[in-house]
Amino acid sequence: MDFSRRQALCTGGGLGAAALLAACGGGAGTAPAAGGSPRRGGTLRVGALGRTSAITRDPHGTQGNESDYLVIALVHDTLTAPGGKDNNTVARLASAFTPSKDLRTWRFTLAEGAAFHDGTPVTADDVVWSLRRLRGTPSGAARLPGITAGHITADGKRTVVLVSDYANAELPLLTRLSTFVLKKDTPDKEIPGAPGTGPFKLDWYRGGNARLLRNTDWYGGAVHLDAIEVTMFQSPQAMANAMLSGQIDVASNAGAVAARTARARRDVQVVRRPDDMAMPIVMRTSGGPFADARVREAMKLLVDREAMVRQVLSGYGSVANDILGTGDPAYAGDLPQRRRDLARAQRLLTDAGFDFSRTYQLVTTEDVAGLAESATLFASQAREAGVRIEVVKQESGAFYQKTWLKGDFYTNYWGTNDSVVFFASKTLTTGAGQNETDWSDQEFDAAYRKVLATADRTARTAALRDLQRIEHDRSGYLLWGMADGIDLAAPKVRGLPKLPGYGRVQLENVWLAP
Amino acid sequence: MSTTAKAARPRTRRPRPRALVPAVPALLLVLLALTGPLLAAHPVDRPVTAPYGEAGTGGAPLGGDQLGRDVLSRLLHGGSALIGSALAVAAVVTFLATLLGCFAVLGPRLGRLVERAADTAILLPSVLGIMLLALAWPGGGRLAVSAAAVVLGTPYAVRIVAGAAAPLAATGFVEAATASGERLAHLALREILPNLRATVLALFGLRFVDAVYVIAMAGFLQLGPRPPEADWALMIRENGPGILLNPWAVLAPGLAIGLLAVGVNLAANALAPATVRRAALR
Repeated sequence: MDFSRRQALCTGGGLGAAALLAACGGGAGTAPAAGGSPRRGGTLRVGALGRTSAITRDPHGTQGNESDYLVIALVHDTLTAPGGKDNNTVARLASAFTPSKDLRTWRFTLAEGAAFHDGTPVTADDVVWSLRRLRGTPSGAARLPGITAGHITADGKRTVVLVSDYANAELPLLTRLSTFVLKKDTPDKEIPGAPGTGPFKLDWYRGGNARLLRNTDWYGGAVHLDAIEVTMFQSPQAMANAMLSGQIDVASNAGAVAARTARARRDVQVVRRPDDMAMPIVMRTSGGPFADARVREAMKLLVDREAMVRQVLSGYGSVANDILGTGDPAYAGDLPQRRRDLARAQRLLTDAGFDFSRTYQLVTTEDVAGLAESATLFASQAREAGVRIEVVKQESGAFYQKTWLKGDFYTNYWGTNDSVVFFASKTLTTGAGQNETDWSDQEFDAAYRKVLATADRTARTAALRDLQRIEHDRSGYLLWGMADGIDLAAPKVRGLPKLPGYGRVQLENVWLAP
Repeated sequence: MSTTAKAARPRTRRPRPRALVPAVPALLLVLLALTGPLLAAHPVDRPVTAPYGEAGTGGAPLGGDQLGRDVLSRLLHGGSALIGSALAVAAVVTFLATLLGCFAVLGPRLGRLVERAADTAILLPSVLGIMLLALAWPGGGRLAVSAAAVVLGTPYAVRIVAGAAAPLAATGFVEAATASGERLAHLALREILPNLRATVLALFGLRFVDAVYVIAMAGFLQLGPRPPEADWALMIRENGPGILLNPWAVLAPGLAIGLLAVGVNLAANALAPATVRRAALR
């Protein structure tokens, strides 16, 4: 069936697109080969998910669409970027970052030769203006925690100084996500077309779709591709179908079902990016039925993690241990893996005086594939222990308005899974901006502060382990597994990013084989 | 006189057994749906194979759904609730419509009121109505959808009954009864209603099919039953993404809904007295 559809597309050449012919040229049976030396040239057609209603062009706005984030990240650079397992923060626009002795003052030195697309060099003033603008957004406090706008200053032409309210050894980590740099004093209405410093510059943009051209003068090295075309898709299915029929070269974050559909096709590369997405079940710790730590532990013991990974993620993922940040080099893999233990769970529930006669509502949305399914499967697993859970599906908008940060019991997902400290600062410390479980634990807060205030790497790893142990023992997160990020790509596409989370937007090293 | 009676007799009796044949598929399907839970090999909520597992793997003849649960077992479980609520909706709508329709043709004032209300209600987009009611009644689930189906289906049905009853209201025997001082209720229920049997039966069949569609549509829009319930319409919706991996997860419930609607329609047609069919064919 696939073959005939491809054939139909090839023979129906009235469309006359050269790219279409190229896609057909791959033919059945050519296995994707890695390696080879990068070749210059070509246009990469990338599909990314997005909804028209959620489009944003502002690099400092809230990017709800993957397509928007991709376009913005390729045009505007961040100060630092996600790295691999050994080092989760690598240099980008800031070529070096050094702390003061007390870990409160950080100096970021801008990369040699960094310039905007119109040729003007990037100065510290531009960065300071951009960071202050970012800090001034509604969620600015969560994006640059502990740094007030007044404490972002320039020192000369090429150094930016950030002063944190407290010692923070992990500050560069926080500058990886949305510290997109714009020219100083760019008026708001010119933001969408404003020049950035990234490896690609904007050619045109139409309602979520964009064409980007190579920035020949990029400071970060040679960019192989001539251009990237980003196409926005409303559903992963539509995107995967476009990929399979050769209309796009890469389907970004297409999901496990698409990967399995494509598995029978030897001319499609399936790129798995492990530790990509956390899909925890969130339990409110400050009130309601899950306020008792014993109840929370029982829930964590009820879930059959292997079955969840197998059935919800089609096996494209790994079992997790209730600690967010599995991609962190300092992830405490030596903590005992929590397994299913119904007897112990029931004993804990009985001790805690849990009401077995009530039906508990688990609220979920269909924002990402597998989310609602995870809730459904968890509900039926819990029923085996006598806990009655009803799954309530909410429309995405209603979910974020009514349930997120407020509900007792709901599913959630985080696509930026890479460091333990990131989650601790955003969701777990007392009063954190997105404290989804409304958790406040003095011991945890102390451990967090200790991690941030420790400069020595070994000592910090030890402190991080303490922090993770507390999180594992009693936080409100039931993290049963980690979903792999799954991209589909045509065989000619080489050098695709393999990093989880926002690492997926690093397309500057991609090249097309002849 | 006696010859005509002899000739007429076989004509009214003979078609009956043959007429029942079209009703068989619907009866079988309803019977299967009602006894389905007893025949299912697996529980509705336990995964037995890979998500969208192929037909035949893990003891699932029609493969697995989005969580690897047995499609056949879910199919067998999912029918009774749909058929049950559709039956209830059809019965209530037919009952209300018959009652209102019979009274409406006798009292001009009630008639006008019913007519206006029905016209307004018919003009209302039904999807919008269902969504409104389902959203205004969170947690209503199946009950909310059924209520919406009743509210939205009745006006149209009233018009049909009233249309069929209008000529009867003008016949001699009703006029005679009116003249002899019978009360409105007697006129409606004793004089008009018995002559509407064929219309009411046909109406019931049509209302059942309509209710199946409305409830299935609400299920597809996720307004009625909630997961992990094994509802046919919900199954279609849930398993859409994996249609290339296991088409049966979508095709089987889709076919079941289609067969049910077509089957019941055939049955209603067959069961309706011959006069109505002849009238319809003329």
